[in-house]
Amino acid sequence: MPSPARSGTILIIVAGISALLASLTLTFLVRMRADAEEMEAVVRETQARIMLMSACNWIQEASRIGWPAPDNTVGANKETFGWIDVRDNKLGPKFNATNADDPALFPLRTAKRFPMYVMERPPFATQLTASYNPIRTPVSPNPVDYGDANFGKPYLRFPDPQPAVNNGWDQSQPTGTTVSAGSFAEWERGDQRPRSHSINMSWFRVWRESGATFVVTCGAGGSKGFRSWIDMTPNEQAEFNNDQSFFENLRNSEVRLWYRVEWSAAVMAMDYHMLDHSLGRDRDHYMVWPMNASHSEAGHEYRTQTHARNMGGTIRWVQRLITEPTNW
Amino acid sequence: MRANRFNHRGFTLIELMIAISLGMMIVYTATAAFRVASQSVTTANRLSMENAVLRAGYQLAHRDLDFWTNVDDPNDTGRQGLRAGGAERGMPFTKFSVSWPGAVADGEDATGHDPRDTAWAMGNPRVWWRGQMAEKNNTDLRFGRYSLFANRSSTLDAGQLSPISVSTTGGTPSTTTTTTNSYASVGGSISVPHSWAYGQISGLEKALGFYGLCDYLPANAVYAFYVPWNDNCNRGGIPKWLIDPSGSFNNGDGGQQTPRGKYRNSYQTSYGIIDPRSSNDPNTLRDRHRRHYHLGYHSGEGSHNEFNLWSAIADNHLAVRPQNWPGLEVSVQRLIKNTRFVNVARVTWTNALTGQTSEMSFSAFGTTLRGARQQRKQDGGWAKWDNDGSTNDATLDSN
Repeated sequence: MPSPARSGTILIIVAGISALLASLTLTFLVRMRADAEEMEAVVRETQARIMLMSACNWIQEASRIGWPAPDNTVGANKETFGWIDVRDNKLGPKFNATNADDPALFPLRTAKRFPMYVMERPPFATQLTASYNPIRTPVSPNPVDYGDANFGKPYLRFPDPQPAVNNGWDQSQPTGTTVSAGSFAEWERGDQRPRSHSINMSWFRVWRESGATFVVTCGAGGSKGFRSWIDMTPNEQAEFNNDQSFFENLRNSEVRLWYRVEWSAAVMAMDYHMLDHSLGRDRDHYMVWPMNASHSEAGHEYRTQTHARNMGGTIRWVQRLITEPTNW
Repeated sequence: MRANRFNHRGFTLIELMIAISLGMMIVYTATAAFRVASQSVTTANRLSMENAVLRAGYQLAHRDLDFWTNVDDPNDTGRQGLRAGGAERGMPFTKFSVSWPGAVADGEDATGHDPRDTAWAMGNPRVWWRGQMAEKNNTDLRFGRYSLFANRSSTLDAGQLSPISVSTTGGTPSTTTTTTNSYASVGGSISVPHSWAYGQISGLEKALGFYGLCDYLPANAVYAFYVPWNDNCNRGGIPKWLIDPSGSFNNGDGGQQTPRGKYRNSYQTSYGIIDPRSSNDPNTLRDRHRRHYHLGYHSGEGSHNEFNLWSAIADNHLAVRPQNWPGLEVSVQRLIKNTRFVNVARVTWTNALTGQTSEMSFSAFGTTLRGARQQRKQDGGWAKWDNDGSTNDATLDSN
């Protein structure tokens, strides 16, 4: 039996080595934790900057689409013609050219708030089926033999794409007699409830400074884009469990960036790719590849402006603000 | 009973050898484990430091993307090389009050920068381009003289129209006679109804250079205009530098001789922002903002290297640092490619131990040139801007 002194020595050595290893491990873990926390700041900065893209995309799209029709009827004109209307050069967006300023859909010096999340099913969603009309072979899904009349034929039997909300279309009635318009409103509306894993990450706000100039606030954090507790309605405060300090903690820990941007109805010059060198260079001629020609090359370049589909207009300039503005 | 001191039981040699061997194995294992753990921690610390430096570089790159301080620092007069220039001889950060003065007004005769968002609204007839898209460098004006509808000058006299040569064939034997008709003898003055849009194109080019011209004009701009005819124009009055395929503005792609938009001029070649540190000579810097760079298909390594040398100068953010810290360099390069404004950020860090250099590059969206000019006061410092109704500072864009 080893003497107590010898046992104690071994214990000290083992404990010492263990303590050393434990301290090294702890240092390592603390360092990694600190790195992860610092990385979180970078992630938030990045998310906030992604919101700048989102805000610009919204400004571009909302110049033409996305507003409720005046009478809210199916089939009504839902297109608008720009923050400064291209038809009458007056403020919009508006459905009809009235030759008068009408910014009612987004009044000047007001803000809209956009907490970002993934919807359960966005409006106008289509099914995710990759290929509705696969060419059938003996080894394909729904196989056919080599001798079958359907073998290898690219039959376009199914509409592609199809709405996520079943509209009653049946392959046995390809003319669409079974299609019902009853589900159209549901398809149009979508299921806009947020998916829980995607909420409270980032948001943006748009404040309309003038006709086509906006202050964009980009945020990464859980405040959902609310400026302050007192700006919120009771229902909105309930989203934060009616806990003001909780909201303020969220607000104080998030990243916020402020920008000014200006929208323009301009898309792209109509000479996207002229026929100049395809049809000779000696004389003036008007020939230009037609709209909707493809971008592919086949001997010559068939390129038109429609290849670049920025039909919601463009962002003319972007200015990061040095300090937080009063209104946003 | 007194113990016999020779009676103590000791270790045999075998026991000692085994004990020493086992002990050595334990010590060796413990030492090895300690060394591995220690090395792991050291490596982790080093990588952690590199990560921290990388994060810092990433955020510095975004700072440059948003504030353009790598090419113009409002608080450092030593880094304001792109503000030099005089009237109609500007660079990207020359204030308009020097390079392109003018009062904000609505008429066709207005000159200078108009900051209002209504100025370039597409429904405003003043912004429409009124020219002949098919008119070539060597045009015979078969579609007419468009310079009469819109011109850089709001008035023309007949002598400022190019003479037209008319060939007639006749007689026996058949001969061809060429007669040159000049309008000078007709006399009189012509009032041109539209001049604002052409004045903007011309003025912006002179005030900012090619990148700035593209930055300030809307996306659908046609880069051509008419002026009173002279030897540097085609017969219609379009300056050759706008339509000649071998010019500094136009690339030679397809030999295109007509007016064009931004796409055609930026998919074989590019315009860029040149770093003021690339030259101490303002004239050289100015010239480098008035040429294209061959960065598209058929381009060679040399042209890419030349452009990178002048436009992607890195800032050394850790020039002075502890020996065990990594080095960090950041650059942000700006160019126009296939009509898109491209910002290329490069973060480079150097391993202090091995000297190995790694680079992360990415493109990102941020403040545009016009936005950067609006951030800056005219004579140094950042411009105050707020939307509370108070007066804001004049900026480089103010006239």
